Amino acid sequence: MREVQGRQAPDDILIFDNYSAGYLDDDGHIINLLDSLSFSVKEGRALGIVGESGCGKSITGLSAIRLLSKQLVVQGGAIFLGNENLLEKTEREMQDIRGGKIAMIFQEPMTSLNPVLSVGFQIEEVLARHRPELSPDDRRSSAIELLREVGISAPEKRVEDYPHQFSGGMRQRVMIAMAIACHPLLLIADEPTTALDVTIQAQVLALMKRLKGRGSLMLITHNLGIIADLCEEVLVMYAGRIVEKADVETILKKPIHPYTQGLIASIPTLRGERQKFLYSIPGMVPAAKNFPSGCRFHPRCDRCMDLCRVEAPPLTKIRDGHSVRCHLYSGALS
Amino acid sequence: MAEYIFRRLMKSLLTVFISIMLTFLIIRLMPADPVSLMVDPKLSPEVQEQMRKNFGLDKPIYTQFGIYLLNLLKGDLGYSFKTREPVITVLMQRLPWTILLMFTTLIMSLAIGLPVGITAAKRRNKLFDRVVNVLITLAISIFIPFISFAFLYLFGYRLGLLPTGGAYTPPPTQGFAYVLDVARHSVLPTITLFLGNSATVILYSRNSMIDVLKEDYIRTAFAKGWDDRYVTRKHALKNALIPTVTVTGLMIGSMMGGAIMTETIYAWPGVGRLIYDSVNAMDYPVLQGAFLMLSITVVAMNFITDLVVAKIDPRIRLSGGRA
Amino acid sequence: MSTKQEQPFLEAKGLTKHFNVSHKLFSKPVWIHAVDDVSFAVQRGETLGIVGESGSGKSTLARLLLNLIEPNAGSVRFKGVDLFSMTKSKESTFRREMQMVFQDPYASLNPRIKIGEAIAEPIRANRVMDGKSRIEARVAELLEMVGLSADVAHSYPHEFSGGQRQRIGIARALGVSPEFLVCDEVVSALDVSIQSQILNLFAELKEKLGLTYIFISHDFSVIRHVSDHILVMYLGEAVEIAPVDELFQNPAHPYTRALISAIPEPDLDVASEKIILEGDIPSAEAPPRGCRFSTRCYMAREECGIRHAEMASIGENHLVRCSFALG
Ligand SMILES: Nc1ncnc2c1ncn2[C@@H]1O[C@H](COP(=O)(O)OP(=O)(O)OP(=O)(O)O)[C@@H](O)[C@H]1O
Ligand SMILES: Nc1ncnc2c1ncn2[C@@H]1O[C@H](COP(=O)(O)OP(=O)(O)OP(=O)(O)O)[C@@H](O)[C@H]1O
Ligand SMILES: [Mg+2]
Ligand SMILES: [Mg+2]
Repeated sequence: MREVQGRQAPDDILIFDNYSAGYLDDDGHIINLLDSLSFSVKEGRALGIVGESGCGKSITGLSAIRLLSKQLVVQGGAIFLGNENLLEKTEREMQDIRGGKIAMIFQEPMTSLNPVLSVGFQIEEVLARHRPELSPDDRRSSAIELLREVGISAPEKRVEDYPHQFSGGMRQRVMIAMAIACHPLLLIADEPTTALDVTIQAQVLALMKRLKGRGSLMLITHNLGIIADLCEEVLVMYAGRIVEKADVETILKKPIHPYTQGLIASIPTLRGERQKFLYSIPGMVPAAKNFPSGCRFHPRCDRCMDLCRVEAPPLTKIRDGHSVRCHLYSGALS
Repeated sequence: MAEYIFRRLMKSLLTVFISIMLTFLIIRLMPADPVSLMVDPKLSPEVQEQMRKNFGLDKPIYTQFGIYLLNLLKGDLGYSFKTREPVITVLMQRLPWTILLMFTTLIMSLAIGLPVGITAAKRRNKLFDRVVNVLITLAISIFIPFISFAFLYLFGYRLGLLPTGGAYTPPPTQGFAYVLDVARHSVLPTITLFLGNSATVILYSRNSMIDVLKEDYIRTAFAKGWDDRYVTRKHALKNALIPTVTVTGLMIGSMMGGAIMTETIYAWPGVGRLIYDSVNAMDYPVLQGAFLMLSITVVAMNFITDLVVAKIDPRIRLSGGRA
Repeated sequence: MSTKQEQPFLEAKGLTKHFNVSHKLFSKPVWIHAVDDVSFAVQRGETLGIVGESGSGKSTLARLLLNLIEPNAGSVRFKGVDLFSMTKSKESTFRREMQMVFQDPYASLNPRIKIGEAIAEPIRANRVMDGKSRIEARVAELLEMVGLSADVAHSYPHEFSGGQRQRIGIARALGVSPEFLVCDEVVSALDVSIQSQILNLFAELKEKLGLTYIFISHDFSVIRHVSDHILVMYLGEAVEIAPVDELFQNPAHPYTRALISAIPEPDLDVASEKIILEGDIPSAEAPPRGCRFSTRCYMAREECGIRHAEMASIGENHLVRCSFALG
């Protein structure tokens, strides 16, 4: 396998190296969505990807298992799983990785399970694909074990049931059971609790916390509270770019990018003084075809400078494990 | 499942009952004297009087309906004006031919329509799909008499390859030769009916497959590492079949309409042709019986469709159809 | 929760709404207990926040308050007048004074009608004013009030983002100069940065126009931010009502506590013990006997499954529906 410069320490499970992707519009032009993403998920750790709707979180997750829809095209860079560049793999090789080494769960528990197949079958299917040595009986007992593990009571009875007989929270548990069936190195969870009620969300988060550490986790969410609950590392995305990445302490307590700061200040809290007005970032997230030049956040930034309008800031390392994409810190000022 | 079957069965029986009532009422509400519609005017006055009694035509309408129902249960649908045979006998002679035609068409439409529709969906907007789309549009808009006459002219007269009418060459032969003869006769009517019906099957299987392939659970299946063939077969197919089967069931009704035209043109001795002949002969008892039989067939086919859908779809099977 | 000497602006007493959802012709009716015996009062200029999980009856309650559906029991008094027994002419004035804003006003905007027209429509329908130019001026004023520029009046709904559509929905509701606004999940579909803009807009309008709000959300932190009093709902019932600070300092109902603790906070310093409720929310078709929360309650005793608790006062303006709630 190819050795690429800038590769990080060996405990990185998944590495995005300068990865860019865009979509084909109706005229066949490529419109850039993800721009030069570089980050890594460390072994046994949880990386949170946070950002507002449309900033490219889901596409980033889907890129890692190469399940992008047809209009989406890779524009450059590499994605490494261990030492192997996933972008150079054949479809056949990717199939061995999906569900085996990398598993993914999605936002919509109501529609992510096949309504005409029993949940037992849908769990066993993962095992049938990646562990052919198991007999049908072994697969059945593993499925029951997995259901028990994710907190479904009377799993030996429920295993024959169909998705419509489960509530939203239980379906998400089934999705999790499917995802952990083959002990993946990396679990990608795309908004796993967004569609759920608060008390049910808490159950699922508690389950995910309990399963943590078995492998690495890439958790996609727009909710910083969930990040604080589960993740060690955080990536803040805005309009297809990483604007800040650091450990969760730094992001929540001492963020330095104006967007991260604004985002955190905008969230109403459960504690402390209640202010009459919340901080608010003016304007709104642009659609991909209208991404502004220079820094994509500049039209909404209260510290915008002339340079920001024309030149995209580089991802600048502030210290080990803390980088930011902002001209305030890029050295362009000095 | 049992509750579901029971409810559907009740619904079917209710529908049959309503069609019986309608056929009963239509005759009686016609401007002409019902007696003359039901009792052959060419019969002698004594016999006419006897039949009047049999039908209870001198009694109030609800008593008549009761008698009518009782006779129906006994299989007594009256007598044909034309042949003087019991209507039930006439129908039973014709029914097998119609069933033969319909079933061959149905099986062919499904056997060819489903794979074509699904392949078209999977190659959406590619050449295959586009060609199929054009053909579907053509086939659906075809006027049956037009295509039938074109076939007859081409294969019957010009090329002389196939017989021009009937279901067999009289007098009927025996054994394999007979089967072959019938098969040759059935080619044109079957193809005529097949064109429109397979187009419907292709259209629906293609469209529902396209919808299903966009579903989240398809993405889940791919995320498990399965390949396209498996995902299509195991995950997409069953879901795409649900609307397709439903539509096929509904199609039976319109197939009957098509069958009347097709059988008439090809002189196929089925119920459709019988209806045409009976209209011309003003043979009301036969017409009444034929319509009743048609509606029972349609209801029965819809019932079977419901069962098939329930077999595929656990949401219906397990919730008694409320989902 | 009101002090007796002052008449509340809006007062609901024993509001109950059951929906009949049996679809079968010959089967016995199945009743959804959407709202059951809910009482509260709102003072002028205050905001009452209603919080609860999906299916707890929040939207149904809102529709009852606005007299959009008929209750099975209970009454609503608006400025001292009973809503359900007033004359037609009076009703139309009241309808004007109470307006509703929905989660996605896009759904209620006709895609072929320009924004300006959509905002002008309730103004005309209620005959608040007439004359084309006067109405146009009013629409422009409303658009600017909600932070949009006046020339968007000539655009169609699809040209707007979620946040902008929400502003349009607010402008539409404000057109008839209501005194009372019911906001049902108005920020739920919005991103954080847009949510804060809209919440600020509500705060600003409240100050400027002296509005009284009922603010419905499933997000407790949003409810805490906007409310003066909070009503917590579970399966169609009010389980706790209290002033906001009191509710957060002394949450009394086990459900309220669980709900607050279940919210993931973007704060690493709060090492609060999470209360994880077991099981799913029961169906409103057959709510549990006794206390409706008893099937999931971590403090439940045997009698909770038998005895149905009434709302009881445990402090100033603090009501709770639990036999064992700690005061
Ligand atoms: N096939 C496509 N064609 C055009 N644009 C696309 C396509 N797929 C995604 N996009 C655009 O890419 C952007 C990023 O999409 P993505 O789904 O990754 O966002 P997200 O961060 O996951 O948002 P959300 O929080 O809403 O899920 C969006 O603006 C979306 O409109
Ligand atoms: N028109 C109706 N017919 C029958 N049942 C209804 C109707 N409207 C609401 N319900 C039922 O009443 C209960 C309460 O619904 P409601 O919409 O008020 O809940 P909600 O608290 O607003 O929930 P959400 O957070 O999902 O908006 C639910 O079980 C719902 O299914
Ligand atoms: Mg997404
Ligand atoms: Mg609601």
